[in-house]
Amino acid sequence: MTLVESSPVRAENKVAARLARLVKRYGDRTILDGLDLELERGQVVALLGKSGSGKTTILRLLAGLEQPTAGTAELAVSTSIVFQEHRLLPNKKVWENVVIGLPGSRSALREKARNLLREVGLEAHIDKWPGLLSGGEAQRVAVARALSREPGFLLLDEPFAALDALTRLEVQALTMRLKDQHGFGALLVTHDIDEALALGDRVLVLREGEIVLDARRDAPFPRRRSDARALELRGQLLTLLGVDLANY
Amino acid sequence: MTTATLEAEREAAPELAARASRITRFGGALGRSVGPLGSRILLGSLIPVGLFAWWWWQAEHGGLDTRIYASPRLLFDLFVDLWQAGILQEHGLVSLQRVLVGFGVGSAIAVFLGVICGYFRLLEKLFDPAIQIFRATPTVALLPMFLIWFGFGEFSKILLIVLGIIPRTYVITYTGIVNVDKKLLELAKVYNLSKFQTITQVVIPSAAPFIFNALRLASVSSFLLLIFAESINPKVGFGYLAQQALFNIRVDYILLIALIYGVLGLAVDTLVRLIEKVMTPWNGAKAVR
Repeated sequence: MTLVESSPVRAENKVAARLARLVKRYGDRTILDGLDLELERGQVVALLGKSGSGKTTILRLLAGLEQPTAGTAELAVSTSIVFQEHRLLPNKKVWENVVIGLPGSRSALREKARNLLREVGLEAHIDKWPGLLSGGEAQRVAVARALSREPGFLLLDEPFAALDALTRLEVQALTMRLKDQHGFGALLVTHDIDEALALGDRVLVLREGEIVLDARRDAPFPRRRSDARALELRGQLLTLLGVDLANY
Repeated sequence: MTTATLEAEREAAPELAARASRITRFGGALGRSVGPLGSRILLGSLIPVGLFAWWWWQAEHGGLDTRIYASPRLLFDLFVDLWQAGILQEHGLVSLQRVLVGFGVGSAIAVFLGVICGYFRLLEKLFDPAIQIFRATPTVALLPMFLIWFGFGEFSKILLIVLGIIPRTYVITYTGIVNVDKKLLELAKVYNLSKFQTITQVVIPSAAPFIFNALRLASVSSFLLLIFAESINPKVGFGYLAQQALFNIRVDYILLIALIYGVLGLAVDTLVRLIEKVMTPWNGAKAVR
């Protein structure tokens, strides 16, 4: 999935990605049925949904890992992806993982990797095998790897879900700091309401392939997770996601 | 179980536990004093050396008929004689060459086929049925045909080793390739690795434990196949020596050659393990989580 700095998405400079009448079926199971959605540059869009709601499918369609049954999913800016698992190649040193697939001399690439690793606070691990990293460290390397493409837009597929609670907060904060520095937008697929509220400039809820909520969050970052708007949204989100805490 | 035996076991329990802990401590202490490799060699040679010592004792002092069972001393004397006469070197080198060429060519073909068939669906459809049919054919039974078709020279012998090790090496390699983590393949796609880069940087390294396992099995098979290959009309090689020994009913001779086969097999296996360790250093660098 390379730079798609190209025509299909019309020259509206604000748009980073556009889904148009997007349909995705697996066999006779319809996941997305004519979805329209525009994502803006520089914005973090949190996409919430229950398992099977189609949120990961949207991300994978944008990444080019799946082909739409009908309609289009296009990106107007360069992009890279961070998965839920770090997916580091065990047979490559940390720095080689960061610059994987990039052209250039080894020394230049190593220098590039060093700079990126410094940004995620792992310069000391540059020559380690990934197998020796902790879960949080490995995921930070995965973030550095995504940044090596200088993406305009990041696809984040529940990248914090597999981390323990404390590490998750750290890696979340790191990602947001990097967003401020690099100015990328992101589609953050998650099932964590608090994460969506804390990180998302815009929060979408996907239910059975349809967007049932599209809310803006304009509070400045770092956001308090307990401001009035957040609490109000939280209640709304829980209801939309079908979680009625009164029943438990 | 009677109460008495239960009693006895209960009484023995602390003693057993103490013994177990002594053994563990012994192992640990051994590891500390001679290193992991040292303790491996030391422990690994216990059984072979023990068997040898027992054989030696029986031959020297236990009235073992050395005409039938030979003895370590006879073997050693024979080894020195043959070595000094240059016979072992002459025949050994030829045999070793056959094994190494057969093993090298056969495993290269098999690993190559395993990799491409495991990775490319189309090639699997093309090659796999043929290989499976071939796999079910006992290669050794084809040896007479090889001799008729290709003569009694080196080619037939090496061909037997090559064809003999291909099927299993192929199957294990193939299994390793198709079991490569699909998520890493997806990553390779997302990060724009070419097909070639994906195969060399993702697929083969992931399948390396399978491939090296296949090579270790193939190295052992190569020696077994060598024995067959050299059993028909040999003029030179260990097989020739063994056949001469059989005609002359020289037990010591046959046993010595068997022993040399064993030692060479161990050496090749160790070599393959060593190569694996050097070529896949990341497999030793894993934290347990």
